Amino acid sequence: MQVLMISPGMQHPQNSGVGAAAGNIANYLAEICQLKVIQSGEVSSIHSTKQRIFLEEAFSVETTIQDIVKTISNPIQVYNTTSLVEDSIVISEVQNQLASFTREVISEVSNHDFDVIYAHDWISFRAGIELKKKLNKPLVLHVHSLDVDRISTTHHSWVYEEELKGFETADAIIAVSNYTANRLVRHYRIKPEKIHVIHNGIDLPKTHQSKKNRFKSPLVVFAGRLAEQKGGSTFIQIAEEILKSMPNTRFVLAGEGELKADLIELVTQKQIGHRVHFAGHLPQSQLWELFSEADVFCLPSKSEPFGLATLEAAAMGLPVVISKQSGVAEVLPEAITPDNQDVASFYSAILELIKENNKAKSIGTKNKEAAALLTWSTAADKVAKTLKSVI
Amino acid sequence: MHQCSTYCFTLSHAPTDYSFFDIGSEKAYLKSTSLHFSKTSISRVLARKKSIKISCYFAGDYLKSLPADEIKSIKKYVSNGQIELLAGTYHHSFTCLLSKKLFQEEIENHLQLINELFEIRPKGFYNTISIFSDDLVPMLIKHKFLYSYAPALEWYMRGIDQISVNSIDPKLKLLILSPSIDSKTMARQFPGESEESIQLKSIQAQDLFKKGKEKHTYALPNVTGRDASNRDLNFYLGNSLQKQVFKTLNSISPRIEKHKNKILKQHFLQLSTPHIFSLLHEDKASKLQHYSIIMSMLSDLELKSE
Repeated sequence: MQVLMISPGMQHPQNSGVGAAAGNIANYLAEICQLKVIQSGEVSSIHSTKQRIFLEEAFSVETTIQDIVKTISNPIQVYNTTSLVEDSIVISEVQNQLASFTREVISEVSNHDFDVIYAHDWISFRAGIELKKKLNKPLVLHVHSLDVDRISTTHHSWVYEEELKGFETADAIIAVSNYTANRLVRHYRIKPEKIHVIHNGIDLPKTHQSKKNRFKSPLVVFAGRLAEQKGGSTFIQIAEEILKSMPNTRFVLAGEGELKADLIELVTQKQIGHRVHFAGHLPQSQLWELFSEADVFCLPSKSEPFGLATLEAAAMGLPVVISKQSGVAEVLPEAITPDNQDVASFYSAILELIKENNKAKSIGTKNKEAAALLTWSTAADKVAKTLKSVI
Repeated sequence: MHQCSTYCFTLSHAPTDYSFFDIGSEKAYLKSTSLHFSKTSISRVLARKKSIKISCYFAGDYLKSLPADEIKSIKKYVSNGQIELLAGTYHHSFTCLLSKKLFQEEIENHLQLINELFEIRPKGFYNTISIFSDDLVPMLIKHKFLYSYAPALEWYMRGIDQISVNSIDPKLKLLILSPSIDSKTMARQFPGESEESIQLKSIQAQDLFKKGKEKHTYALPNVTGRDASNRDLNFYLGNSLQKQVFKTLNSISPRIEKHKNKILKQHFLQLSTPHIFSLLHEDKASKLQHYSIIMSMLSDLELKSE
């Protein structure tokens, strides 16, 4: 089977989940089929840095084209559909970038032969649709997150329309969780039989630097983009409540995003800045290090299609308290899942885990065992099966 | 018209790329640099014009960073009376706002160093960004200072031809500074300014002290301060990031007071400098980055001072 994969590009602070997932799946997919990857990247470095990096991987990137992921540096701007002139300019700029990206993909792959098109998330959907129409090849879309996860407005944005067109045209859709599959049915009216749920995987590092808690006080970690979707401000509210009864507890937010300035302002206004650390976007090795030092992982996302960071934290044996609106809860039997708005339940669950070490350990061990069953290799096998089913 | 020129020589501190993961390690917090006295235009003017007289505050850590020939050069001007040395805190920091005990130690350490290097005990006191309030008076009188700077008074006394007033205790006189160009009385200067801008008919703070009228007793119950660029305390401590850093320093200070580790104390005092707080007043991206770095350093200090 020859597969053409349109990838969102290298892992980047703006696309860390989808970037990591697409990259890991491609690595294993390349072992079981003929894979060609075309992805977003820095045009200037196509022939140097990028090529060199990817030669060390199991798959080779056919080409890198316009870096659309970095162009869309502020996701909020993409979705903003107010009538302000400035916003209209931003939106049309992003739409122009998308049109240009799509043209480049089509132009690059015209000379290649393949059996199936495999595209990840909305940025690559339009190119997938165009190629399907032009070459009459089957199209499989992999959904890592949806417009309805990223924004909480009641109206549909142009990105939603992009996604809808893709879902209607695709021969099959891979969803990263049942949670996402249900949202596809509910919000996009997609037939359930078209959707295949394949949970993400994890490859634990063979070695990682384990770190003892330096603070001699509980450490609660949040890892994710500092955007509305991930519930950073809810995390701060939870921190404020916990600090009232355990004033030495420390909180770390690992990640970057458009809300960083607001969140820092928030902690300084609440006068808890001395207990809340903003660690920035961390490379994977430092993320493992952070998880090994922490006591509890907390991600109160408003809507989390999967939640790779949660799976990684669980794989390190950390007890996880995440919102019930999280796909990863389906694969972690002991995840504690309050509603994303329910600060009190988050607070009491985390406090209990901090105080009851045995309970925390037991929960952590069970989730760790469950996480160990989820590998990228297994996920890639299931993806290959889905791709074969439409040829 | 004579003008009293006061120069302030301090170290500049730039934060390293200290991160959350460096907390607990031995990684340095700051890279310190200084403009050597001999490289300044005022040093060249002093050499050329023997009649010019100025007052100088040299921070202790600044003096310690200088090579021997620089100290020798300053000593020459101190001996011939061209430079009046002012006392202050050893580190150019906001110590007086954080801890009375550390403030006292800082004054004593600075006096000791000035005595070791120049065999002099200054009569005038120059606090960081000329911070003054009535609370400081007993401490300054205890150290036998005769006058201190209180620039914020200039605003209240604008238009009144007075160069000094009594503080709440007549034993300590307050010198009013005006950073404005048309000032008839005093101005604080920048060591790096151009030679052309140096006031050649300059006198020293001790001359003002002698000439000063003492008709009024002036109370400053609230903490005031203003630097040579006319930036007040609000510039350094006014926004929420600065307030959080200050609050954290304040919460650590009781432990630092008791701690025997001198390096730890030095780090605390270096993080309490106006330069560090001014980094939290820059453009948004830069100040947020500095905030995260400085708060990690403070966590490290907190951890090590336990």
